[in-house]
Amino acid sequence: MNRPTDWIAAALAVVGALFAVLAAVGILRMPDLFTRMHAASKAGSLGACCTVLAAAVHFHQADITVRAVLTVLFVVLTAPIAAHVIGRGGYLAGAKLSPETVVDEFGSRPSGSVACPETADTKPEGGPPPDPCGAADGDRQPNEPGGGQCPYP
Amino acid sequence: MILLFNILLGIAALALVPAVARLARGPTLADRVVALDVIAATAVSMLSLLAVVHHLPVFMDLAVVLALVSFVGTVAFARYLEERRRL
Repeated sequence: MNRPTDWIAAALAVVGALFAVLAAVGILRMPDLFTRMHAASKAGSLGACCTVLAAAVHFHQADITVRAVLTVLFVVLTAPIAAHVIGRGGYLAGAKLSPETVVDEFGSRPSGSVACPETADTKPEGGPPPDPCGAADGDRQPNEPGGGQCPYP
Repeated sequence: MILLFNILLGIAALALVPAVARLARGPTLADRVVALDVIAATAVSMLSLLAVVHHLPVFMDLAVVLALVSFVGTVAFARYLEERRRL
């Protein structure tokens, strides 16, 4: 702790480690796949970026800094793509939405399938949350561009 | 300074515990893929902290490679999920 940059490195490392913990807790505690993915993509990539930058500031060499900046650029460029692709794949595979979901804009679910709080209140006998969320594959296939038959049996 | 980075290494290792719990418990394959993504990001963090703790800048190369490989693995799993059309 004799250089001023050491404080920057320490602060970045603390922030990065805390965001890593936050991502892990979020992935354990969130209710469905999409909110878990939300925690993982944002907090996880921010934690990785901060710790890599902390190492770059600590080493204070040109080649390490180049590698760190490359890593940060790569993580920042690819984390949204990975999250989008997982979310799309999970949705198309039929991942259940959380009962607290307010809007579902992808649109391949049946219309009126959104479990809004009013319908959840008016029909408490387990109707709304399992119905829209757990719609079987046969219910959803005709709404998709491929028609009724799945090309991948 | 090194002590702080050691403590942060322990904290990042603790972050692996909930992610591994989700990996083991995750009801669907997509949840497990997300858990693997978080584990890879945490491993990138731990590699850069290890580079500081042990004064080995080689670990930064490992961090770059791990970030690349985890992205490719995630996209491959997601393509598989999308084409399988079931969880």
